[in-house]
Amino acid sequence: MGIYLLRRLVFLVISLFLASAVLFALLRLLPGDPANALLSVGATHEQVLAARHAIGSDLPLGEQFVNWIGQMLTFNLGTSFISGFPVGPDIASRLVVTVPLTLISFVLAVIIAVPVGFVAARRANRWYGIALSAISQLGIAVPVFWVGVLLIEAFSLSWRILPAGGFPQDDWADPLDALRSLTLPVITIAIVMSSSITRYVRSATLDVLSSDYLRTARSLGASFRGAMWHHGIRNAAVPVVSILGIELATTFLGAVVVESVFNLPGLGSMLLTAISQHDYPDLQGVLFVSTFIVLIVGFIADFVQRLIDPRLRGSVSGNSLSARRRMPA
Amino acid sequence: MSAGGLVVDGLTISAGSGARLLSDLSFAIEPGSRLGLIGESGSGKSLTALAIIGLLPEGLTASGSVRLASHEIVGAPERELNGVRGRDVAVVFQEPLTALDPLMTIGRQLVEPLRRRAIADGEPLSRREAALAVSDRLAEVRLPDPDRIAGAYPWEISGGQRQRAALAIALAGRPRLLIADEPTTALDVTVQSDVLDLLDRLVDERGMSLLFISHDLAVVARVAPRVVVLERGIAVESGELRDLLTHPAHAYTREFVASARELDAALDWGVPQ
Amino acid sequence: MSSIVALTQEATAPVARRRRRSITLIAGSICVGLIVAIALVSFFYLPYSTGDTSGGRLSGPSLAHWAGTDELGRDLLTQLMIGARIALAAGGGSVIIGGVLGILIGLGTAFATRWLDDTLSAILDILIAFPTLLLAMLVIAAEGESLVSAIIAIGLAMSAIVARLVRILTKRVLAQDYITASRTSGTRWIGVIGLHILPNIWPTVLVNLALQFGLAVLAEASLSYLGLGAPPPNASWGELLQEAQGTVYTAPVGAIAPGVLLVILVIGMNLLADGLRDIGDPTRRSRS
Repeated sequence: MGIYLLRRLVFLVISLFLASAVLFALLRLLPGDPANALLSVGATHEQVLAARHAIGSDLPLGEQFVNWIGQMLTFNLGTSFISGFPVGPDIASRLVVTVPLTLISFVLAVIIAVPVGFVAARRANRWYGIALSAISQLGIAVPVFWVGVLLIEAFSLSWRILPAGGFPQDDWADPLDALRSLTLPVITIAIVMSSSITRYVRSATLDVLSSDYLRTARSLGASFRGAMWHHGIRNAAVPVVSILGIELATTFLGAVVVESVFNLPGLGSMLLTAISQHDYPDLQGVLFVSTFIVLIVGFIADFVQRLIDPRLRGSVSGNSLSARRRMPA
Repeated sequence: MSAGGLVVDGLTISAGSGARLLSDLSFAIEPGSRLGLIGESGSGKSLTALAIIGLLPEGLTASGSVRLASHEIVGAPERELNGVRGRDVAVVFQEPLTALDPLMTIGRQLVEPLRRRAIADGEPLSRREAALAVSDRLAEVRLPDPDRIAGAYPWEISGGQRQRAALAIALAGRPRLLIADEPTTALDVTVQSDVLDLLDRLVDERGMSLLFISHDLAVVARVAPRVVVLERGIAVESGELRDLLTHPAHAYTREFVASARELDAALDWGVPQ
Repeated sequence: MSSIVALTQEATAPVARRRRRSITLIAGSICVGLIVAIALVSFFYLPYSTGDTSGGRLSGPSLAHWAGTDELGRDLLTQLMIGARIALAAGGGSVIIGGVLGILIGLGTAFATRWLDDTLSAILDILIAFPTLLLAMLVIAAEGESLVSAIIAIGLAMSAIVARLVRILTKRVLAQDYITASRTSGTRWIGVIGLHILPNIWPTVLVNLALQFGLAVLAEASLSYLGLGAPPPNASWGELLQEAQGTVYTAPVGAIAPGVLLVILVIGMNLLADGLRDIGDPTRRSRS
């Protein structure tokens, strides 16, 4: 496992490098002069050249890239064109909102999805099992921002229980206050994400319930509960854990959108502002950090998956055919 | 009927839609004797095995009577059935790759029924005792290097080794009756013979009763002198296999025997005395 | 899955299962068909022209305006109908781009030499990790806000997912013996692809694309909501929801109808996907 871990780490680093290269290239391909953001209308040619020099866009691309990588490695994400503030700390202050939002939503979604998915599978022939499954179908078809809008309408404007948006100025100084602001956003995201995860839990549980090994265990005298506990949980966890990494990444994205609905000062709003203002350092920084987070989550998810499923060990990629051959089709 | 005996009387398995998958099956196995259940796929033979241990899939109901030792299986509460399964009766299934938990080593899967039996006997096993027992049981089924097998996952060993391990697991609780549901069908022909011999020997040594289910006449002929022939859920004929082979009474049996005879192997192997 | 269970299911209620399968397909078709019908009708008849702001602000449903009007006095029904066009275009366009590109890339990597294949699939994994929405935002930041940018972006992101699926499926088929047999009897690779690979993989790929359709529609709606989609007057439903955000109580139709229509379209496609999945592989248990 140790060697494997090392290989995955190397792979992660390479992925980060490749991702930043792709990012870099994409941003440089954007039409429009990055220096424009620094200038006002009607700038003279000398002013344009000076601006380009100031931000370093007159250097050859290769050199720009190397500089950027160098900056990344020293955690220097540059300075915003528009605000003049350094990008790094700005992102950090945004993460303080987005990361808790994502994590709490995700945990809540999983907590809801596991029992619901289980019941939907176990009682797939009863009306409430079918109803749960239908509700989860609905949950994944609904736009997350719409849920947010409706919830605001119900809880904030009509019943006035929870704030309609915004986040305390002093961040988490008063945790309860901050949590109040996050309540509706978390519920919004959790509704959609739990629907998605429920479907995977249901599917995995159905597979286990009809499996041969469960039948073997029972034929040897194990009770249903005992057999599910010893064999069912781990086997059901395998396919579910394999998608949890992706679901967490999707939750993160959902958070980005939902921040707009609830006016939260997180990574999402910073991204949107950067796009509209063509603020390249900000844009670069946010996208890089986002990708970084997603890749790390993927790495952890992959690791957990291999811990649970011995069939995946010994192959570099979880998609390798050799691993699949160990599983009955 | 004492331990190891099985009496099936009028066993009928119906689906929710009312369709009958098995109709009015009756047979008896004396303690220590053997019976073959022959039929094509869809004849209801595998369902019979599941009905005997009370593990029919959801949606199917059994009616009639299945008496195992002193227990009536049909309609019995789950708790009672849990005590019967593994202890009084055990099943070896057709496909060991799916019948074994892919995420657990063979040893761990073998320990489960071993412990259960030990606790029921009032003598719980210590870890050392359990490890020794696992080694012993794997050696009993003629698995070379039992310790390696104990630490291996099902997909890491060959098909023949898997089925032997599955056999060891089924026998872990020292059941008096063994039901073998197509135990060699999924194996290579060369391996089939060895596994059949093993089965034959173990059942003999322990004085167990055997219900052997198969579609393959030649295979059944090697282990069971008496058979019941199933056609689409109905027992069409029963009796000594020797008699059925030479003088099949029912048309279906005739067809069955005829198609089996076309395989030279059936003739080569002969019939047990 | 246990063969006993499969046999049982075949025996227990074959009629009921077929009925359940066809309910899924019928329900899905109705939902999608409804939206398609709205879009088609919109090409021939729109209650009002898009620039007409004569309706009076935020009026509720009336005979003159079946769905009421928005903040600027424009007819909502007209906008909803145009939104149907956009949603379908977003879904369809993305799926076409993603599907074609994905199949080509997937086939390509499956046939590539080991080293190239490993590198490409690693890149694919990275691209898939790169969140679709962010990718789309990047492209839009580059090309400006338009429906085409959104479609291209979503389609590109989708192609990575489809490519990975096609790659795995193709490799599985290539490992089969009948491929070797076919090649030995002289079939050229093109023939193998056409005769063996494509017919084998297309059911699964089709189901996947149907599911991606719904995701693409939702992605476009999110982009529009954030202001990164097609600008009015060709407003998508996402945009409508953005505009109606403040007026949920005073003019509920504007804040509810676009959402409901989105849900109908996406659920419809998901149901179709489930129904198609069961058709493609009737031995599988229905999972919807």
